[in-house]
Amino acid sequence: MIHLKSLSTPPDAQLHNIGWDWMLGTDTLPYLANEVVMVSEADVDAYYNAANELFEMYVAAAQHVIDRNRFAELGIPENLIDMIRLSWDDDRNIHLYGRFDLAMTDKGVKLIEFNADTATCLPETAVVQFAHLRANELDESLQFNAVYETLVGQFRYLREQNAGLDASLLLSTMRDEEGNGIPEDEANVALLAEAAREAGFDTAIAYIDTVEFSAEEGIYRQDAFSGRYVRYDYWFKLIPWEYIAEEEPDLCALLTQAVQNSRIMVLNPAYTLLFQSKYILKILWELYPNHPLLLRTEAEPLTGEPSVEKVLFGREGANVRILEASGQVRQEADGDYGDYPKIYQQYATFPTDSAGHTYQAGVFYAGEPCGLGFRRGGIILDNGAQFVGHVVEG
Amino acid sequence: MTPTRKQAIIRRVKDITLGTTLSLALLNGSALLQSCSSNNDDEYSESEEGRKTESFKKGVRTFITETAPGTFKITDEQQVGPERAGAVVNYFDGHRDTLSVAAAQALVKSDSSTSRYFNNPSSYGQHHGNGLANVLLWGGLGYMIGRQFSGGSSFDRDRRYSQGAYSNPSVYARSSQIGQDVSRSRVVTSRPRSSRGGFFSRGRSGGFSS
Repeated sequence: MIHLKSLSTPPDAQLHNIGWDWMLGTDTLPYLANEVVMVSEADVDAYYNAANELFEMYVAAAQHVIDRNRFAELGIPENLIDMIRLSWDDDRNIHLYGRFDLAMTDKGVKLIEFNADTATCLPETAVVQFAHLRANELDESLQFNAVYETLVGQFRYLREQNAGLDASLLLSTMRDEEGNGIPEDEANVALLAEAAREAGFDTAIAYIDTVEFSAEEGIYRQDAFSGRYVRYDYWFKLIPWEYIAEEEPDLCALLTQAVQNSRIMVLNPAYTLLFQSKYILKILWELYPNHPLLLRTEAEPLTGEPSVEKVLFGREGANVRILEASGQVRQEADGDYGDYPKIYQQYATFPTDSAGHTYQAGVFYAGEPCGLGFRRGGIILDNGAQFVGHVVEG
Repeated sequence: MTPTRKQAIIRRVKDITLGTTLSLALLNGSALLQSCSSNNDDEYSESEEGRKTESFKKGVRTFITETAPGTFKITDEQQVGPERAGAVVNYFDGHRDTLSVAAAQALVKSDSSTSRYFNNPSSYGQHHGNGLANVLLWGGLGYMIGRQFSGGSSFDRDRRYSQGAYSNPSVYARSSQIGQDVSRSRVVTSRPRSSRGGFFSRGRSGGFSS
């Protein structure tokens, strides 16, 4: 059972001070809950230890996929495989951050999936829930939240490991069909840019369609002040790898060459798509059958127990179907990802509050587990799910 | 692969060092933002062998005049060592003030005419003023305070704003050259060899939140 604590003062003033008023806009206001989840220290330890152990298991599973050449099963586009191997074999390609989605069940923490490539909810987890505590003068409370400082540490570590590159980072999102930015995406990269700047990077943000890519010379953006082109040796993209490979194969080829020439460092590295494919959940079950953190996952519908059908590259609960033990559909969500192959994961019961909302824990991992936040909603957590912060009970 | 760094991760909220800008603004309001770049790792890069980072080995000193009450223009810009970088402001009432880069950045971040652009250049589309924060953002010092550009179709607009910050076109032309020197090692005048751009220019409905 989830226990909530009401925090009546919204973090408006705190967010306004840092220019994050967008969080308070009409589109996003309902997205912020005015209460927080009470979490025991034992549960925080469990989330922390789970994320640590799971990351090591993911690394082993990805190594297995590469060694056995099982890319096709994972749905990895063929034109990405070279870059995946390149990035995996070169230890300078550090996974910047990702988010484990976990369920606290009556049998302990269970892995739902790992958003390793383009995880969002960074501002909510790192800043908003902290600001929410501050607004309610709960500075003595505990919070499992070192997301921001851990990201700064990751950027510093990247610099140390890549002495041959300039500490310059360009961050890119996509525009929508009307040519406008997507506020949520932009807030996520703004937070990353801030962390990188603190770690000594020269940073800039540019829509991907304004960025110039050269296999020999690297990644550039045109400077408005001078009209000249400025090179960036690191490029963070909040654009999924499979989408780049499928929709812009020329860009995929250019990036592969540039990575091969050691001209650029792309974040997150291409190998993170191995973590992102939900087929890795099946690989994990193969390698670690009945592991206490795992839910049974197969490529065919599970027999004899309820399961969840997911597409290999679905996001935000799209194209998810919940199946009864009989195979009957209990609930389904449509979406844009229906063409991908599917996997079937044992159904996990999420904890609920007194109003019947379900809660999924999101644990950020940036070289180490570094922060916790919750999404709440119905049985399928979709893009309408609310973010809920937390307080650790002393 | 990323090695796992294990450490005690839970700490009291008051101990969280959320990072300079964010924590100062959250905890204390914008008044303390003046110190925000002091926590920056710029010196970090220069202390290490073999690092080529151009973390402002050269700086810009901007001379600004309040030509009419509330209207500020850049009258001169000089290339200086980073320790002398900043802005010298001659106010309409005759007094003179000197702003460090950090103070200039704090003003740009907190002033309503510039904070929105600074935090999120692509969302810019409102009031473009003549105030002090405006010329700090769009002048040569903008480089050092972390100005970002939305690029693409906004390119001409951004350049127009830059030109508008100067008292006349010749000052602007001279200053453009300084800006390039400040980050010269990573700047080229022509399009990079065999480069391609315009990927994903059709856009997409909705983001990639996950």
